[in-house]
Amino acid sequence: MVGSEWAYMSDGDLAGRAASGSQDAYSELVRRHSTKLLNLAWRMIGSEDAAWDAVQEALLAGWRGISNFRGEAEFYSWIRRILVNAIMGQFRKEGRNRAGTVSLDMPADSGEPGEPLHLQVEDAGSDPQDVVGRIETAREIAKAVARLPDIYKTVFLLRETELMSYSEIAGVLGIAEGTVKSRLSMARRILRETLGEEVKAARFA
Amino acid sequence: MRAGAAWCMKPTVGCNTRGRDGAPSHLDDESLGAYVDGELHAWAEQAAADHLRTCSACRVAAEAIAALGSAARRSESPEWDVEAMVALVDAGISETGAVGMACESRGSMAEGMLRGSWAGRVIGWVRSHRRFALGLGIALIVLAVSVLGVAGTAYRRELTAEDRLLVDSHYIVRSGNVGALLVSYPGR
Repeated sequence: MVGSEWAYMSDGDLAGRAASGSQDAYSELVRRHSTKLLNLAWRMIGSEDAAWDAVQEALLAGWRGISNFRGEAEFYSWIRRILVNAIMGQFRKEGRNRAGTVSLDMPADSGEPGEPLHLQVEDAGSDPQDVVGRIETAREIAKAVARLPDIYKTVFLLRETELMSYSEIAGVLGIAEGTVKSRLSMARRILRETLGEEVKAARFA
Repeated sequence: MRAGAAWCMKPTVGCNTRGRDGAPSHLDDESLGAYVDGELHAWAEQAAADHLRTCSACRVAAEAIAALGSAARRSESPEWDVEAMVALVDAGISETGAVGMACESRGSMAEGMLRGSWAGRVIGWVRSHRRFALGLGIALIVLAVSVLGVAGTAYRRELTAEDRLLVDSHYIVRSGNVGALLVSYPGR
């Protein structure tokens, strides 16, 4: 089959052909979903190289387990679950998975350690709307997210960038929905306070 | 399990909802987040919506939660070389074998060998120009065979008349394990 013909097939059909041994079909799935997976991994880990490694490992694991993909879920959801589990496993190995390390002063894992947040804010009131509403780009929030402890960052990203439901997040991470809710709330609170602190600093600079 | 409505008691101005002690009451952070995420039960969602209509503080907080998520989704991300990823995964699959074959992941090894190297780039290019690469491969094979043929002919032409006589007057006999014997042919 010519490469361009794969492009017209659904993910489910491609996964079915991949399960029958078609490497070309799997390559098309990789082509379709790599960017989303890389973005998620990069936001979770904070390093392009590590994100690249994690996604590659997940895609290879996906190939090895493609015969287990039954098509009840979307292929992307299935492979994303593999990726998130792999990254969380890596976090556990590295001891990064502790909520006890919460510190608003912790260095960023984004390759720019210690770089202070810089907000494009001239003046800000104390309410959250002022804080968020006056930021010119989303870059500052991305940096603040990168500084979150991993367990909060993961839940926040799965909810806000992947638009997963609490139930889906709980299923992927193997935690209770109540835990999802509390971690998400904590992530948002830390972000609000982090951004708020920077705003205060900017105002008195 | 969907979240129910929980209420916290924080004295704030601009709130018409009162607790039992008469102080203004507000949605707690978790419930407010669950409302923004659409994760509350219908009855709790209705109660939260009623509260938000009368409480500007909670309304502002809810809008901030939504804005935070929206900004996170808009955040910039690196430019990824998808074809390079396709090539790396292909290389990894070639190492690990058929679908469903259980083996240790060798992605790091493949990545270490290929990513950023000329080999990785060549594989990526070949994958994106398959037809051209196939034609190029066939042309290279034809060229190689031609070069070998010409070289062989040139070598044969270099044989002296004495060499040709020696070759013509012998033939090879293979005998058991003794190996090849060069035997004179007395008739020539």
